[in-house]
Amino acid sequence: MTTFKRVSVVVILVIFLVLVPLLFRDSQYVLHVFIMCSQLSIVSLTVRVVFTVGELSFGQVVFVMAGAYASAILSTKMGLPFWISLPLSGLVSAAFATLIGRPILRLRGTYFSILTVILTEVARQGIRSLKFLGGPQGFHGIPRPESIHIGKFILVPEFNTTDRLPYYFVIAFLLTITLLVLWRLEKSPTGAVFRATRQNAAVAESLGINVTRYRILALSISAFFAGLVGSFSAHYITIFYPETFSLWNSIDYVLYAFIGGIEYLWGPIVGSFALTWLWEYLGPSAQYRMVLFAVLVIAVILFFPGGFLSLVKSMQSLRIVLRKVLPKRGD
Amino acid sequence: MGEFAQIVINGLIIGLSYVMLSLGITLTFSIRRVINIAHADIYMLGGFMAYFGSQFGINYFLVLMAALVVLGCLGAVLDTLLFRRVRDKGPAGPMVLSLGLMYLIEGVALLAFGEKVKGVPSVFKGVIHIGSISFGVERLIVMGISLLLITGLFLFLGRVKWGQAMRALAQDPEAAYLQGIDINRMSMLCFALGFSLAGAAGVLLTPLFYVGYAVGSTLIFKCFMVLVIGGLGSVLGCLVGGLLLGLIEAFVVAYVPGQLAVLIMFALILVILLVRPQGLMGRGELT
Repeated sequence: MTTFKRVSVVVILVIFLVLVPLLFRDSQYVLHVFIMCSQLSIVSLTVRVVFTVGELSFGQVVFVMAGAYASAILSTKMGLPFWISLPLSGLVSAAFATLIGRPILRLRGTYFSILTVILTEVARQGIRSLKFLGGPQGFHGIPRPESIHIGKFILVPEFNTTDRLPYYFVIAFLLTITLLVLWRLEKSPTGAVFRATRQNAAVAESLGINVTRYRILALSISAFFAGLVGSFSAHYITIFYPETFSLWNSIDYVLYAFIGGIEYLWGPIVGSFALTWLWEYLGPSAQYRMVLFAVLVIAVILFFPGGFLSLVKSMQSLRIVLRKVLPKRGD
Repeated sequence: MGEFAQIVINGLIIGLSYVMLSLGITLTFSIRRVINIAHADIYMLGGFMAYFGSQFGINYFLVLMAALVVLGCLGAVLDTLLFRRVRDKGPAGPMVLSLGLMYLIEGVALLAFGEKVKGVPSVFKGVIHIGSISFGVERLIVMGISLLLITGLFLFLGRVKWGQAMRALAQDPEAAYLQGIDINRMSMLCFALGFSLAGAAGVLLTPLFYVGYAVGSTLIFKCFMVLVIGGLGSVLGCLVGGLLLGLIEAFVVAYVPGQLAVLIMFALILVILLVRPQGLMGRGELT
């Protein structure tokens, strides 16, 4: 990591964690959009985690759903505070991924992707017909996160309906953590194994790597973070139905990741933020939104498969070339 | 008894339309190694052709022929413009590309035809009575034409040189190149055939059901189920999977109430996934 990169990452994090809340402290709308962006970014990042082992998953919404339901049950039926049910629902989601990963990860490529599409529908319909999971009515009245006191010292303030700022801090913190963990993962030996299984599973296997286990591991890691988002969104909107978690959300996660640049760690984040703000700018009634989205996706795949970020990279390399070609100042 | 026969007929009709749609997906997959998610939207385009055909009073069979030709050409064009360019780049990119294509077609359809679903009045009136069983003539004709088209495709793949070339490409592309088979031409033909079938299905079935801009995205999901039941890349699997899914749907919907029906269907799919994740007919060559 170069110094330039280090500095820019720190700058982005400072903007995200300090400047945005300071500037938009009074605009609930802007905060809300930022909260949505951050949630999308995390799930979009989990699409990328599965992609590092070479699979395209349209099933991430299932893990979000698992997290949301786990959190709703833990907090409404068992009375656990949000701060405990948040990590627990991530774990529940990861456990679920491990369970279903075994059969579905036996298949690869296109077949796996098709299975994940079907999985989203199976899961949604299954939950619709299960009474103890709320059925078609879903859950409502999920408690808001509790405040945390240590003696007189207030660590976390009261969450209420009128102020979204505490929520913003929670999701911004989650996004930062996710980014850090995934960055470390990528640099770790496990990350190297993930890439090896993607490039050539047969060679990886011949080196004594249990490819299936690593594939399941990748799916479980992705499910963990998706589950966290599910839990957060359950406590943020406090009400959800099985239809909240549709295949279209899942497809959006994939498309945002690709538009941002799925080969880059920052790609899904860039894609989610850029497109969410674009949709907000266009307004909800824009019927041509779908066409615009389609054109963007097709253009990205055909003309710059690396996504938005690859454009930035190529501009950087253009600058380097120009610097070498152009005469230095003072010559 | 009459009710039973009715359910079988309904199941077969729906099943045959699934077969027609997923045959195209299978064909194009076997050559380009890409699942064209936008495929079911061609059904929607065919449906709108039927709708406008009946609005302007054009002969039904003429519309059917027009759908076969026009949408077939569209397939060849889209293959050349889009899918050829992402060949050999792994499955993910092309899949996302076809997703984009789906959004494009549906988005344009939304702008052009509006949000409302449209019905088409039935073309053939009348009922045939055999003993206590009665069939609508229209359903029988739809079934007959579907069967004819599917048989035609099977004959093409089995007997005609180009069809055999397609199968060769699916089995072993390298060996097929060495025999002088042009993959680009074959792929165009494949897309054309697949789109023709899908469009024909749209024209045939819209008088029985309805058409709207988003009909494709519900259907593509059914196609995926067919592919998973039958096995991806197997033409025979398409036939078995499509008919099976159609029949199961018809029976479950008729005999099991509402929500439970959906659950039972998904439970069946789940069992197949767990026992034979590669599908009933396995993953194999294009026969």
